Amino acid sequence: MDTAPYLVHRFGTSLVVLAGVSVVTYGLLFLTPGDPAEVILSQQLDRQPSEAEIEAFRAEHGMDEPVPLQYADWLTDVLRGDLGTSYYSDASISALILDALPLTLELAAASVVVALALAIPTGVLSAVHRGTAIDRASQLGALVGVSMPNFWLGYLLILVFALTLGVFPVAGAGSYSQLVLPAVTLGTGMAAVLTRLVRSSMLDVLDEGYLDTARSKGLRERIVVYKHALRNALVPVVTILGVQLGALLNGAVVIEIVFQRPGLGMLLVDAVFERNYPVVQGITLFTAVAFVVTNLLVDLSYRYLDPRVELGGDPT
Amino acid sequence: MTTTPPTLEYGPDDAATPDDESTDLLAVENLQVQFGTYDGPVRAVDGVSFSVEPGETVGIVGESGCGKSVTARSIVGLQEPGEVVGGTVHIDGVNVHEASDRTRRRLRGDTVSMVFQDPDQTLNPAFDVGEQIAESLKVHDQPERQRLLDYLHAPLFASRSDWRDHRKRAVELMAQVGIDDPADRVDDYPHEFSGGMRQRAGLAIALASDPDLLIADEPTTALDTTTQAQLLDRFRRLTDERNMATLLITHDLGVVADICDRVVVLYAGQVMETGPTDRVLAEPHHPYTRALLECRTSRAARKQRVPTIEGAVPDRLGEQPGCPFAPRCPAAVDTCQEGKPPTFERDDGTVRCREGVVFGESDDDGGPVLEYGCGETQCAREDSSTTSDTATATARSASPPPRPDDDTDPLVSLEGVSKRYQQAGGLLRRLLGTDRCLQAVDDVTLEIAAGETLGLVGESGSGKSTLADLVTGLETPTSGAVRFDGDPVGAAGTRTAATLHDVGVVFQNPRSSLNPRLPVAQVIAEPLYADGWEDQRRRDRVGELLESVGLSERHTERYPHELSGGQLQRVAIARAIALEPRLVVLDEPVSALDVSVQARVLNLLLELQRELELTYLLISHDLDVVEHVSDRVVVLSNGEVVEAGQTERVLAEPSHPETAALVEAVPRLEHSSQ
Amino acid sequence: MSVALESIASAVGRRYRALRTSRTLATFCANPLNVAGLSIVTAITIAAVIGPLVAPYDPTTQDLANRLQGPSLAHPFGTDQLGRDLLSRLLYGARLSLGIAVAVTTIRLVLGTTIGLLAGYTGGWVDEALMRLVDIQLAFPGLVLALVIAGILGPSLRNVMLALAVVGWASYARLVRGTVLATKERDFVRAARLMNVSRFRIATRHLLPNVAGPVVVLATLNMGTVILGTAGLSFIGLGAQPPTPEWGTMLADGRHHLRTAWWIANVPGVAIMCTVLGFTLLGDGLRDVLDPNHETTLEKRT
Repeated sequence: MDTAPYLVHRFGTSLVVLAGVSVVTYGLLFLTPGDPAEVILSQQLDRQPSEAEIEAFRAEHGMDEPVPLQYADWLTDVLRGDLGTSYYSDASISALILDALPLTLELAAASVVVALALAIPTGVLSAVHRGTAIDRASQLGALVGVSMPNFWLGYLLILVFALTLGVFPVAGAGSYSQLVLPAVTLGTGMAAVLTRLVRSSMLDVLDEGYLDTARSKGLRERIVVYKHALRNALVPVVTILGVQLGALLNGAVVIEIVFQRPGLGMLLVDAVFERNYPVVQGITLFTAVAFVVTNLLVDLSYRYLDPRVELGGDPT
Repeated sequence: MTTTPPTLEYGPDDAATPDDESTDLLAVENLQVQFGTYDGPVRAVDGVSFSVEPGETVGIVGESGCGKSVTARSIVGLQEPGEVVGGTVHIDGVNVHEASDRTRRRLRGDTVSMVFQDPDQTLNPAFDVGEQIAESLKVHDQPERQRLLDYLHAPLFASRSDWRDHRKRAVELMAQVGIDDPADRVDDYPHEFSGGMRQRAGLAIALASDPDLLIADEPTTALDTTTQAQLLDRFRRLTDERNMATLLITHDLGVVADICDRVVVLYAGQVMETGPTDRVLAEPHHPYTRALLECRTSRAARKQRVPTIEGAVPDRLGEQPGCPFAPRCPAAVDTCQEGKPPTFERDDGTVRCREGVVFGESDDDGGPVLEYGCGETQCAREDSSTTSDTATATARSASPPPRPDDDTDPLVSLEGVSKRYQQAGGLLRRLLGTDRCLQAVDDVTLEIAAGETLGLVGESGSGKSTLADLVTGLETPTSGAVRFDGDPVGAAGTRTAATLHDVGVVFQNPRSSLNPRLPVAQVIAEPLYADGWEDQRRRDRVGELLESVGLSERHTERYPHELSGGQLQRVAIARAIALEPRLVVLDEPVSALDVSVQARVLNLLLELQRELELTYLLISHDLDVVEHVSDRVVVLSNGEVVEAGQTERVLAEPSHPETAALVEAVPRLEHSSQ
Repeated sequence: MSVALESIASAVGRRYRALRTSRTLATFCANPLNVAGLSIVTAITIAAVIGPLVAPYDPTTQDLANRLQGPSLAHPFGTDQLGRDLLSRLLYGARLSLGIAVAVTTIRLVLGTTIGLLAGYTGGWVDEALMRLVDIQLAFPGLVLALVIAGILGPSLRNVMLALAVVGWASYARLVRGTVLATKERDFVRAARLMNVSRFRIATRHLLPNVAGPVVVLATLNMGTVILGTAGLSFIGLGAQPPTPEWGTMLADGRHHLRTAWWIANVPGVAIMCTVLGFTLLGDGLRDVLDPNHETTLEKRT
């Protein structure tokens, strides 16, 4: 199957989705109970604003125009890379995001490394030794990991490694030692999900007839498992990795609060509580776009991992 | 190759040294394999013994569930899902199940190879075909030096030139097994190969280790008859050239007749009979072998009842005394139910049966008179009591079968019908001009007369099933018209209720054609409900239908997973005839069934046709079935009708090369004497 | 009348026989983990129903004299920074967490299944439009969107429920659509079309029952996710407002007393973990039995 038409189709639907994402993001503003301008002003001024003040605020932020026009203006700016400015400071939102982003990316990358390093060996061992003590132990570990709220795990780690043993700092960001605990917290949670997936995917593959073909060649079991089985078992894992990026962003929000890391998540939560809508919109849009793009890349990487995937089928 | 010593050295841990008593390449002695199930252990293989000498081709035959595949897998030490609980397997004098992993790998890489059944499963989808053959060559060359990083092609750890050499040799092997343009196809992935090609690649992998013994587990079952014929031919040539012994597992006696020197007949995990192929097929000693031969449609007169084996293969839970075939054996005597039946060694093989049964009074006639009905050789001397069934059947069909008549209008007619599929359509693709079409059915004109059976044959992909879908209305023709009773009909959604009632359908796979969540009674009542029948009337009709397809009242509340394949197909037939259709479209109605079950379903279809004056459109890849049931036959190739006419004429004197190839490809018992 | 009774009797008999002879039940019970999951879920459900009746103290009454008390006979799980009994708060919290999880999962399930069934069965532009809608929903990381929605609507448990319901239906829609598309091509549905069975009946009688299995599994596993999500949002401060005894809020309260009163954070932590664990185990067990492939592996022969 030709790759080109597929790519065009895939990019086309991604654009449609992004357009929808922008509409939803902009529409979030209209969920506010009451008049946004009034709410914001009363918070800024710490008193009931006058009618004139509200009018002035509206004019300043383009809120006096019809909604579709407001959206069009906003979208034009966004496409130019201008996400607007914060209500409270005059900082550009793009700059705020770019400042916070490295900390979140660092956390995400470290967590993925922790997760993969834990999940793949554990999942494979668990599947190969199905039903044994190794399998039971790793399954139980994974189950507990899946079920634990990650903020609780974070506090447990702080309690043990920071407060009691004093090995790592309690909170903050900037140094590698400050990255260890948050990355382990977020990474183990993700590892738990992935371990279960690797195990079940591996169990499916271990039933496949082609492993018997490989065995009947006289190959060692190690090669049968780590070459023939693992390669096929990783295909669904990569798919889920794209979706897991979303979980990673979800987790990052909470973990950044637990460990007091001024990343994207913390920026978002602060903005939500301050009712700083442009910032909220900007971050929501940014994460959604990042998520869509990553999933697009994951889709494309199938071609390499699983030659069976005909890149012409219905992408859903 | 210099690293490999001329003779294999087996580790001191292998207690078994070559047996002085035999020169056998493979000796299986009293092998017992069990699987654990929810109901307890099932004795899948229950004391099987046989041997294979160097260079010899031995067939293992039996119906599904008799333990053939498990036996084959146990020989190479692949035991899943079973567990060997007794007996021994010696290959080249080495006890496979006591050998170390290393020795067993050595055996697999050197002495014995295996070809598997399912072409979708034999090759690893993630690696190209060349890699998979090259790997086998590499294992054979250096069985002891298997490093994971080397096999993963990790840079620095893998020898590139080594792999390149092996790939070159892989191309040679691909040419030998009959893959065209091997140099181009060596980089292809398995999904780019057809089923037949994949089986050839599987054969190449097996041959790469230059084995002394090749075990082939139903290697051609999933393939077309023509592809099967080509592959079997290739098998025969390669094993002759290399003087390789072959153990062929199959359910098809025709295949056995084609290429095997000796045959082992398995039933319920036990060996019933062994002997030279010619003798076993011509003069079976065991009642089971005889029954298996009798129920082949090719042996029975056209449109007549095929002899069948009543009853079902027993569950083998726990210890069961007596001969496993006794409950279904018409020649069984009381003593068959107890003790183990003795095995007699004769000059022409072995047979495991009570003496009185096999070599009893009728020994000189070549066997006892059994109640299987009318085999060719037995007809003359059958006494009247055993032929009553056949006699009535003959009487009923004495009236000449209806022929398409120029005077009467046909029930169904297709006029220049074509069907094209747009592959992966979409506006975008059309704009880019990458649109591709598949011509499934091309300008087909044919008529089906009321009361006749029209057989539709052709290779897979020839458009048979699409044509059936056009008749039923599941598909609409791209051009041309389908007429029912002279009136043009379109898609199922646009047909009137009356037209829909006039057509019944039976699909190939009964498991997928019945809703797994509904009990049998409701499955059958579905068309009645759709037609607005009241509750009581529905239930009466379901009772009637069950009776007419030979199922009892106690099946009504069963769910599909509780029934066997044959019973399910009966339910599907009952549903198809519920509203008294005039035409029944049978899409490969028996190809998913075992031979003995197949015979019973065919008998049922013939009976129903006589009673209800049905018209059949029968799609089948099995020419024996078509020959047995159809009045006329239409041969399709690439969506076009290449030949049509009376069944006897077309199959006896095919005028189109495509038809000739189809007829030629059918493995027949009769070839065995040549 | 007698006919109706008879048919009911036969239906009951059939169900009973199906259950009795079913390997499903036996398979489910064969794995101790499945039984453990069922037991935990049952226990939590009982706690949620009768907990408030048996709780020894009022969950919101402050008793500053007894603040930060460790576990004792009077307070098995200790007291918090305001002297409230943790056991009582935990029991009241169970009702809250489970209630929210059930409500949210129900909304997600009904919304998602309807949309998935509609998209899969109708096809064409309806399918295309609905699936783009699903794509758009799935383009947002769930908790991030829920957080933003709940934040804009204003902090309250009701808004958290709304937010979580809105961000979770798409996976049901996608699952249902996929199963419907696969089932639609199976021969028994093709046969039904040829038997003049109405589209509505095909959808409800032939497609839906075959879709139900995977959906039930997803919903069970989802209960755990929703409980974690609610706790997470409450932890951030968007959900339950003090003094409501919600597990996530309780955990957040405890973080300032980690060193001096470890129980305040860890008691609700363990409660959340056990509940989610129960639903995960139960979901895994149901997947084993409701997955039709399981039936085939049991019956697999030579």
